[in-house]
Amino acid sequence: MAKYITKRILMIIPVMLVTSIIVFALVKLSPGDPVLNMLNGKQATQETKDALAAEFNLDRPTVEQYFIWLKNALTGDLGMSYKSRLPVTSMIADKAGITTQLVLMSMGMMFALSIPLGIVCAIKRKSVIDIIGSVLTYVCSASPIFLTGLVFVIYLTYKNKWFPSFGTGDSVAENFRYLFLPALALALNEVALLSRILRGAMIEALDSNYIGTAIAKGMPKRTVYITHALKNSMIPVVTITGMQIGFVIISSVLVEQVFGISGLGSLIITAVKSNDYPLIQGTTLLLVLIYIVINTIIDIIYVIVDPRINLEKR
Amino acid sequence: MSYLMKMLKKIRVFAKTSKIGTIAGIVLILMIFVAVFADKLAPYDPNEINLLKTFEPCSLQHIFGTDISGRDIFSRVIFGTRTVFIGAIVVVGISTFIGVIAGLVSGYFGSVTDSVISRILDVFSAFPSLLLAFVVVAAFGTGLVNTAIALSVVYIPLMARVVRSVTLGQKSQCYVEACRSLHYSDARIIFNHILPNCMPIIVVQATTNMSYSLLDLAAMSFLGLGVVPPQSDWGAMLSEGSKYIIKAPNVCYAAGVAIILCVICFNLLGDGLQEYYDPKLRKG
Repeated sequence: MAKYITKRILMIIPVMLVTSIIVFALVKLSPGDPVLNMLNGKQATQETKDALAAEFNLDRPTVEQYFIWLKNALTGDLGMSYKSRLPVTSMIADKAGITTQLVLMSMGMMFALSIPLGIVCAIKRKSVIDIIGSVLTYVCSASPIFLTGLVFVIYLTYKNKWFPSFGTGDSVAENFRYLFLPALALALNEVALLSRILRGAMIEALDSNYIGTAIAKGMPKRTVYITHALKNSMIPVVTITGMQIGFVIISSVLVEQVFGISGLGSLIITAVKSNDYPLIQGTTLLLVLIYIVINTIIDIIYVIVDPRINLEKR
Repeated sequence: MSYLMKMLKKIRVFAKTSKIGTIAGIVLILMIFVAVFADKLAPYDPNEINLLKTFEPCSLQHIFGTDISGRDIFSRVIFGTRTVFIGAIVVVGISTFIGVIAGLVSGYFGSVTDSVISRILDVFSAFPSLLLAFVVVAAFGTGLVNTAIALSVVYIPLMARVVRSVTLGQKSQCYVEACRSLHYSDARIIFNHILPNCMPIIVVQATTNMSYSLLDLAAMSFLGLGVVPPQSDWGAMLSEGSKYIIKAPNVCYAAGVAIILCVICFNLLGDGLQEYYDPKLRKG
């Protein structure tokens, strides 16, 4: 077990190294002179250009640039933004809070909606509730997140004024109100997948002998469903959740755009649109790291929860 | 001729297995028809600007009304079908081609080849789908082709893993051993004998990938990193329409319903195909 966990954690290093090379190389391969890009079309003398190039280490060989960047990145310094001339690390730190809150709220809603739905659909299988539930979730999962968000904007913030429509509040508590709709739009997309998987696993569990025994013993239905059937059905749900976290994080870009929230997502989009390479490299590297770390944690939890999993095969 | 008959028989069995899947398939065929004959079917030029007729409501002349520059929304939705299908087919085509080969090769040869290919795929699947597309677009500029190529790289691991696992199962079957004892070349065994047995899962996975790639392409266009305006595209229409959504929501509704319909059809077709290939799933 300990060997597997160590191996799994050490696996992060080569993947991150290759990722950093890809991110660095893609940006380097891009056409256009970064110095001209920094100047934003303004005229400048050759000395100014050389000074700018030297400031961002652009006058050195590409391989050396990579190692400087990597060395700094390891100490938490992701370089300076071309456009705002602020350290990328602090720019990310500024925006990370709101995105984290958004993603966490959305994950909470995902579970709060899909677990009861999955249970009810499995127990009342092929009933009206089951059919309505599957049709609704099917439509929600087919709707692009930004479309769900736009529909919310029309009906819940403009026509009914139940929620603030744009931006964010000043404190975490206030943000619960501001981020409610964005988080819901993000969550609805995943609810279909999770509730379907839970429904399938629950049905399998409910049909098995040990549930029959429990019901025959006269155990209260609630205990049978929640403690016995649900517990055994949660493993696939946890796996899928882990696989979807990266998707939720990156999709937050879309809702941030719809609801005018300035989080990590809008930071990336502005960076991409203005060719702010250090910012793109920094945010991408960070997101990939988060994604890999979460997946590693899920893999490890998975092995701890279910000892039947064959470690050698994975 | 007999091939055609076989095909027809297969379709009849499929229609019997999954009615919903068949309906979805028919809708998709209609959509492809619309995409191909867009210039014949659209009542107006999708890029024709008429500033006297902005934000017209739905009427007989303009079925879905007109947008901010007086362009006919119905025509734009029809031309959008073309953009969307081309994009999705490029993504799924490239990712299926490379993914299937990578999966077959790594599953068949195993050992070092398998480790090397699997590690490379690990790196690409370390990127959440849209993120890699962002980086590629940042480096090479926006446009349908760049976005589609970037997204196809993300879909390669999905396909490759599925094909690899089926290949691993097939490799130990008797027929492969028989081929080996007849001294067939590896390429012949892989492509003539193992590949046909992987076909069902490839078809199902490709259909599902179509719906994912549709959503991802729409998202890229919505963020302004996909197709270049004024090309008609559903995602771009949503992005434009969202700016005046309170005044004229019909732009967003038209494009939104088109996307949802298309994605649902691909999902239902995928489910139907899975049922068709895996009789265990067929409902009694």
